[in-house]
Amino acid sequence: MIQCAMVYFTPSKADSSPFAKFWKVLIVPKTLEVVPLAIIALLFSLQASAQPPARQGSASGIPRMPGGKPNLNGLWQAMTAAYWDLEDHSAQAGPVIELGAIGAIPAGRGIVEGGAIPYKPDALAKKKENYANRLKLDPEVRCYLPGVPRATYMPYPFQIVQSENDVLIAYSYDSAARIVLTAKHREAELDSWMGTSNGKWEGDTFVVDVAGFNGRAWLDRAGNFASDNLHVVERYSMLDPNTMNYEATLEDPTVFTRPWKISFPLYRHREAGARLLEFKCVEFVEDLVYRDAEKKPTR
Amino acid sequence: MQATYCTAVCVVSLALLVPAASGQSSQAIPPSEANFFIGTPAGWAQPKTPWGDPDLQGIWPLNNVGFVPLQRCYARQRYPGADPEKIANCDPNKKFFTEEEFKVLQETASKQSDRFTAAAKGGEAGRAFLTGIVDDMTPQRQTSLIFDPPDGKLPEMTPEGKRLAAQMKSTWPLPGENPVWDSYHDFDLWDRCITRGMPVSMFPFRYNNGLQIVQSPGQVVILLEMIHDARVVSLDDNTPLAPAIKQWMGLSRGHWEGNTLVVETTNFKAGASATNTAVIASPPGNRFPTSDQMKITEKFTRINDQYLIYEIKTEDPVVVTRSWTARFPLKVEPNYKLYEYSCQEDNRMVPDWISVSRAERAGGKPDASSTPPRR
Repeated sequence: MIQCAMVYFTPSKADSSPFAKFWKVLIVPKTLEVVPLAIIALLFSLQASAQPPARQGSASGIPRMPGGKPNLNGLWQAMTAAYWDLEDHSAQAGPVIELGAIGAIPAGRGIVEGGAIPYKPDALAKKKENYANRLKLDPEVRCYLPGVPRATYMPYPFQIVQSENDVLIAYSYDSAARIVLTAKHREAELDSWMGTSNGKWEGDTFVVDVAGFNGRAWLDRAGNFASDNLHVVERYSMLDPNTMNYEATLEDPTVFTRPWKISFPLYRHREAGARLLEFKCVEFVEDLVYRDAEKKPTR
Repeated sequence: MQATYCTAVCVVSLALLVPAASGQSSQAIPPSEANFFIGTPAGWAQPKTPWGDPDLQGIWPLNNVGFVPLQRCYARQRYPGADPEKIANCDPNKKFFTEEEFKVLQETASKQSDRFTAAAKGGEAGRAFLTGIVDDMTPQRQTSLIFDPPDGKLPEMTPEGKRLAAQMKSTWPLPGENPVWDSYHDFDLWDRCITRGMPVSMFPFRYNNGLQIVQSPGQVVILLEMIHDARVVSLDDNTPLAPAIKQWMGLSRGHWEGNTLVVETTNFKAGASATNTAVIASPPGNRFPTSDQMKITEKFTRINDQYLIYEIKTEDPVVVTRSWTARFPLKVEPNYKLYEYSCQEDNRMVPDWISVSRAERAGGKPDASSTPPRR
């Protein structure tokens, strides 16, 4: 048990503080015997924060590909309430009364570093308008493609398929998928929902540069959004065999006053028979999307 | 997990040893009907991934066989060089064109004008789109995609298959049909941006034919450009299948037979059409039903650096009286670009066709220019 806890803690020394905090919260109440270790780990993390960035993201005891790169392959999912709202939020009633507690919104710690998204004043007004009209405007309601980074923290798993060079990420939601090119990069030629992804390894961290967005995707169900000027840099770092840290920097001078960051852990699905299953949601929204067209009286 | 890697390392070591022992030279395989007239050069070695699996990775667009009719001697076939007289005299046993006939096909294809580029160059962007942006297609020696049944035609439907077909709807009319649209239920799954379904997702359409294979230890993914489908094939997966789980693209499992990837797919959700009129010489109407008893078996065999031979067998005892198998070569096209095929996001077809159909029935003749183009 102690050894196991050590494995879990060792990588956190290389990690930024929100994540170290997360583990402290998660593990301490569960297994009291690791409390001293938590303190040691915390000390380690304080010590590590003074170290040069080159050592960040390197973890021992993680699966590796032939050739030595970390092996990110697997079925992953976030365990946050960020899909409702990237920022801190209380539990509250959901937008559809009929769904009762099923559709209610769980409370959640935000995943935004620094707490709040740095909107420009106009953009903040638009965010509020989005929120007020979210049942009409949220692309998820109509089963539109999720965009990046939203796809990563939706309440559905996704599969990373990592080859020796390129990496494919297949999301359960809407069968969305994207190729991350590492060998031969591709410029974004056309704007799209999922953007154009190019990847590289920085030590043990897989860094993905995503650009060429069409500006139509939202960031969550609370109306947070970006424009077609969005540029995302994602960082995937294995922490132990079954946990990965995900970090994304969002830069969009049209909407935000400065670049800002989200980070949270991703967990491996380990249940028997776990595999990526379809969530082709288009057919679940047709009664909604085509309601008006079908009801229109014959002219 | 670690055991897997130990195994992977051992396989890699073996793979390195075996060619050394056999002198690393294999005999050339000359072009023949068996390999679609695509030979394998002497000394060619199957490329392997770093973890020892045969390497099939790359972009293999389906439009490589976009000129090949699904069915042989099918009355509606429109491939270059085909004319009604030839179809009347078509020999159902002739599986391949002769070298001379093939040359004619190639010449005809090379003379095809590119209406899209012509319109785009003339500054007529709208007309360029209406020409239908068609992927480049290459003539092939084979006369049909289907090789089994031996006459190259889809098998007869069972009575139940016919009953199911009669219930299906599409914007692609049957001969003599005058369809009306009042609901999304009057459209097919492709019209509705849900899926093309199987097996037809693996056949060439007119556009967005991108197919990319990506491999990782334990997984092979077949990424399809149109309506963004990623078929995840888990290798050597022995966990029990969950019969209650039904999916439009099924659940796929794979294994290697020598250097051939064999993929078996079951757990289909019933109701997609197995064929689509976008594939030349398909039955009209996108109404060839599939049931949840369908089983699809595919084989991918790389035969040289540029080509693989693909085979897809469809069994569906509910719908058809026997299995049917298509086989064709795919060519790696590293410069083909897969674009995002967002579909639902801007699908005006369903609401607009309903509106036009109602206007027509109300006696109003809709303005031709307001009729939405087909996707």
